[in-house]
Amino acid sequence: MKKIFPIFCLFLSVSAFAQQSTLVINNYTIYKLTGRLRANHVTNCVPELYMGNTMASGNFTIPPTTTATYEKYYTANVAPIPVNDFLVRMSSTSPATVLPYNHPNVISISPTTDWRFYAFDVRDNSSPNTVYDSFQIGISSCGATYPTYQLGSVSETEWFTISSGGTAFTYINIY
Amino acid sequence: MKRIILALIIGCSGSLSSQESKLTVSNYSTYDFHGILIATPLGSCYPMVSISGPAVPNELVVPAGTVYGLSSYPSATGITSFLVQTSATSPAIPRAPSHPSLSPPSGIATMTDWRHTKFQMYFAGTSVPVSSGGTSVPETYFNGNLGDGTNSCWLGDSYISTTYGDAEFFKISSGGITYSYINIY
Repeated sequence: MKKIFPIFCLFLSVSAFAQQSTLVINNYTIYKLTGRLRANHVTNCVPELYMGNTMASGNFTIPPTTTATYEKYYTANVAPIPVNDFLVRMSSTSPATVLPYNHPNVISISPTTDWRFYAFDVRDNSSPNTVYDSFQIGISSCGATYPTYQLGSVSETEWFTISSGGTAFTYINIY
Repeated sequence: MKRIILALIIGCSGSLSSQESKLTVSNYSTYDFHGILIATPLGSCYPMVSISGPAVPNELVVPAGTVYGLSSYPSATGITSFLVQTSATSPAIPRAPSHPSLSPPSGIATMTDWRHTKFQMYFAGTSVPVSSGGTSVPETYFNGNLGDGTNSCWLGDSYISTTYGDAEFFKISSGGITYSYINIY
């Protein structure tokens, strides 16, 4: 019985890798973050999904000292920082289109895709045209290589994953 | 069977989502404990929080006959910085105990736990390792890899027995709080 328990826990952790992880962005800085996030197929480049720079949601912006959490794409509308639509490309031969958060295609790609890339600027909160740092960070995929840690002039950022209790988490921290 | 599985799932979730356990290193021996301590999530190596160089101190020293307690990263006494490595592709960075990544609700604080120590015993108050001949030659006795049995990154028994004494690493859960014990006899 003792052996079954850790094995079962491990199994839960491993099985969690097969699904879209819960995204947690911790902005510990006094700056505003603007940018866009990409999720894509865990082994291929497509389907891919972008958060930010879409019509109804506008620029994806995280205020200073704020945590943004997204469990699934299709529940992003009720997140603390709501996202109502995504830019989605279903295959390499189809155009990218803006889809609402609850579109069937958004729901269908959730189990096979995961967060991979975040390109963002660290901006002054009161004068947002002042950009202090620009980062591209993530898990390398689709032929591109991104760092999981970067140190800027006023901030630093890191990207990592934790799997615990049957849930996989993708963390992006900005200090 | 269904109930057992359900209970297991609930048990797993409960135990895994609980935060870092309270660590107690009890050195009942007549030698000083010098060791690095490593905390990881269950089932993976990263993020890794450790008491090791180049963080300060680069090892935990528990003098003979004393007890060291560490109930959480932010409240750690005698620790200037922890070494934090969030992934295999990121650098290991010394972080002060007050760094936001080491306090709840940070995932690093809530999902990592003490699972391993690499340690050696030294003659009390000296920099001389306990060796088979009582010389300064580092030796295998007590040059320990000791784990709590849940670490997937290092092989480490949860019990070591030597001619100089014994060491054990175990966890107890009580009242919703998990305690990690490293005992040296």
